Amino acid sequence: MSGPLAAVREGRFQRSLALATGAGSLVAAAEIYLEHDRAGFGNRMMWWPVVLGPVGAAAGVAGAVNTRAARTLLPLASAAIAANGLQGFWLHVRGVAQKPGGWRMARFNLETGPPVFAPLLLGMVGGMGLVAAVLRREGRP
Amino acid sequence: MSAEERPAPGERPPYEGRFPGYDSLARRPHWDEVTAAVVTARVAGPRPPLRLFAPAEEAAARALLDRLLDHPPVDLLPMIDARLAERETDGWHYADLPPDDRAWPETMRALDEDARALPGRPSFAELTERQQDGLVEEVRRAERWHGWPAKHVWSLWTRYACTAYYSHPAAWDEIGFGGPAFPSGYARLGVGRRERWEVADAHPERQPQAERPDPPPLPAVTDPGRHGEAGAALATLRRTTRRQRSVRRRNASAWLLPQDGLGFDRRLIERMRRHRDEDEVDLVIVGCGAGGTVLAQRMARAGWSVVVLEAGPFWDPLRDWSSDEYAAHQLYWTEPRVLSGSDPVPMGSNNSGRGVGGSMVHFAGYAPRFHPSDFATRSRDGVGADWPLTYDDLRGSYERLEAELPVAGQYWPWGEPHAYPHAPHPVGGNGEVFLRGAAALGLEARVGPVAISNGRFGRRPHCVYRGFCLQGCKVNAKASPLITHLPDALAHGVEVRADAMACAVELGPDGLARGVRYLRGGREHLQRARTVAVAGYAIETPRLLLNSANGRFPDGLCNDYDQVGRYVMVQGAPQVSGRFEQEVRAYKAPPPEVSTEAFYETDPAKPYRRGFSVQTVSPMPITWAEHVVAQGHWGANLRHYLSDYVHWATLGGLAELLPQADNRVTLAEEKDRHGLPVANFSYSQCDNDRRLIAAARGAMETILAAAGAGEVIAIDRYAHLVGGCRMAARPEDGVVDRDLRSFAVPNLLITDGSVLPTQGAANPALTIMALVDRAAGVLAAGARSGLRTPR
Repeated sequence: MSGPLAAVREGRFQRSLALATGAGSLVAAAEIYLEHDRAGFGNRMMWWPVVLGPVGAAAGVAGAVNTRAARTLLPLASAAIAANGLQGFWLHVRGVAQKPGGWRMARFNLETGPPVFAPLLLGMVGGMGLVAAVLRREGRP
Repeated sequence: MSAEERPAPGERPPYEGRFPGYDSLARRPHWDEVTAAVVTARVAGPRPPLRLFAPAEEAAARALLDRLLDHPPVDLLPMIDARLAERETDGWHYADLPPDDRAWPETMRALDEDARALPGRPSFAELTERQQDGLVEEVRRAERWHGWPAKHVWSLWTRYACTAYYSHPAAWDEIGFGGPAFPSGYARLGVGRRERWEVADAHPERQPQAERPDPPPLPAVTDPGRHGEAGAALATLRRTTRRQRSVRRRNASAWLLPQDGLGFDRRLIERMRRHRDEDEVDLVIVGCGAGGTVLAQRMARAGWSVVVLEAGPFWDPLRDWSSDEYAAHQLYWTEPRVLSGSDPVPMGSNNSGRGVGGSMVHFAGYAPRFHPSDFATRSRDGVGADWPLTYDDLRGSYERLEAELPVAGQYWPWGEPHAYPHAPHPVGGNGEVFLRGAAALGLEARVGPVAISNGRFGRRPHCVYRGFCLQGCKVNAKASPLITHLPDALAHGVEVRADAMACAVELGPDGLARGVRYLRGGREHLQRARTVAVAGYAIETPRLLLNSANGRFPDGLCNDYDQVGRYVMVQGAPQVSGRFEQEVRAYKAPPPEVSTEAFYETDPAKPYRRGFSVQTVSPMPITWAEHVVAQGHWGANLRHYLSDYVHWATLGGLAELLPQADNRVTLAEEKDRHGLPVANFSYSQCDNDRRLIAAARGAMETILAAAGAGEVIAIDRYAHLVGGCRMAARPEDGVVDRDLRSFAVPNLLITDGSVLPTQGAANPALTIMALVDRAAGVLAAGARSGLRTPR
């Protein structure tokens, strides 16, 4: 039995998941940059996910080419991204609450305020990296 | 007009039933308390008996209102009567008409007089509707009527009637208008998009008229706005990634608002430093608007002790303002003024302010820079005047203020190309129409530049796109000195004395200003100061100087060369509206959205000099009624046009009208309630002005037609107000020098829009602030010593 599909079935896909994490964090960072720019970067913390994007990409590539990096750098960067996602979730919830009318106009403020669930999607990218760090590596027993 | 087009008996008028089931009052739970109280009182408040109209006048007035608005379902007379009895007027009246509270009863008696000339000597109210229509139409068409200019009588009637009706929720239901919008704004912006609770027009085919003459060809583009794409992208990136901390370090106002960013931090007022009149402060400023507040903040930061005298109240955006078109009248200067000249300029919403924050409290929000050419129109185009400074002198100030307001917009290719610190806002239906029309013509149009925060800025919230920019921004998203400069000024020791009406600048025996005499709480005070700055804007600043005449200056302070009050300018601001089959709903999203300065410069091939810019404007119902009335419509026809409100998109031009010596402020015979002579503002256009306004109107018609408009209507208006104490290189040509210091009195400054020698085709707010920012820098840098000899 061989081939990429079989490897995935056996749980050996650390390298590809590391690459996917890298690509995912880059794409997310690009989108976040545009969205946060549209919101004027009113809070300096809005830069964090933008900066973490390239970091995640670097860690993903490193994890794909280097076993050691996959066990060290990748989980570290991924944990940071996941934590940032959770933090962003909290900040966006707070942002909705601070809009005029707050939770009294929950639906309107959720629709027009900062996207509440978008940071959690970024967190999922970090989660992918964490999973990749503990996976079996392709071609290894 | 209305008589011929009235539907046959039994047939429903065309304005009824367009928005079935729509109930604007049902949104009341979503309104803030202040607004809900204002609107509720209007609908269900107590109706005191009439105070002003005598019974005969009342009958004529009721009959007239029924004709003007085709039997409105609301009793309008009590509101008109209350306004007149309480003198809650528009704040101005034509010099050739008595004040409104006398003009209304007098014109009602004149209507009766006309009626009694008919057989049977009936009163106006006893005539048949057809006869009444005949008399009313006669007034509308007449040149003069009972010794008055009929045009001005017509304006008086229709202004009050339309204000009374279109401020009522019953009218909003009839025209599909969203009504108040705070704290909830609008989420679905754009042509054809509706909120969940908005009702679609059931009869979009019921358009009032359908013909549109071919629009004139587009004038030649005089400023193509060239720029490199990569350079623009880089400049934008540099500007948007700049740290806000640098703004906060020099002006922390946005961080000194309440935690949630709404309202005004009362603690700043409670803890405000207070001076006694006898204290000689470093600087006393008259007027707390764009010029006065920026000066106060800058000088306080430089360590000066500053007192600002403001005639109006100290606003709290949350408690004092409501999300309602009529209630915003309190934001305008409503003390009496007299208007004259061949083209008298009505004062009000778009050229006068009152209270802390000045007129920027209710300005639309456009914050463009002037073009480099504006500073030398005399030498470049042979018209206007050259400024004693150039664009380069203001560049730094422009950049600082754009960061402090902050200004949002696309990269600006015109004039000197530059980027803005905040990204452009999403556009609503009106902006979409403009962009569509411009694209069809191959014309450059850009989103912005507006002084509305896009995203959080300090503690200021994001715009909620509710459209009430001209009524005072309750959200604190739109910039006004009240929130962009005053909190920081107060935190640095400035005292603002609201409700203090300055009556004169006092000179000492040494010929230097020693303070300002002012009235507060019925008592006269004299605030002593080492330096005096006047920032009362183009009408009140000259008025104050003229009222400050003394032995040394018998014709008014600083008026050695008869320059005070001269060269007052307004911008020609024609507005053109186009009718679209789809719903535009222009009242959603801020009125300032998209603009073009492609026609800003002089076209040598044209018979006129200088140019104009085009911007979106979004009239609310009362203003929109003014547009329709200006077309000559009244009665059923007027109601029909108004019911078509959601289908219209409106563009506004800003045409640079030239400074003329005879367009001036003088003192009138009339006195205000303090016994001070009021200003007489005389204005007449020149040929260049008329040609330029016509060109702007034509360009807007073309853009709307290219966007697919059916009918197009236009109205001539004015906007902004600058000049009156212009700056110049020599004392013979102006009142102040390039540092805004008066030639005649070395420690007297004039720091407002009245110092502008020309006005460009750009909204003046940013330039006024930039001039003051620059002057404050000069003042702080070294001019503090040596003015007064130490005692």
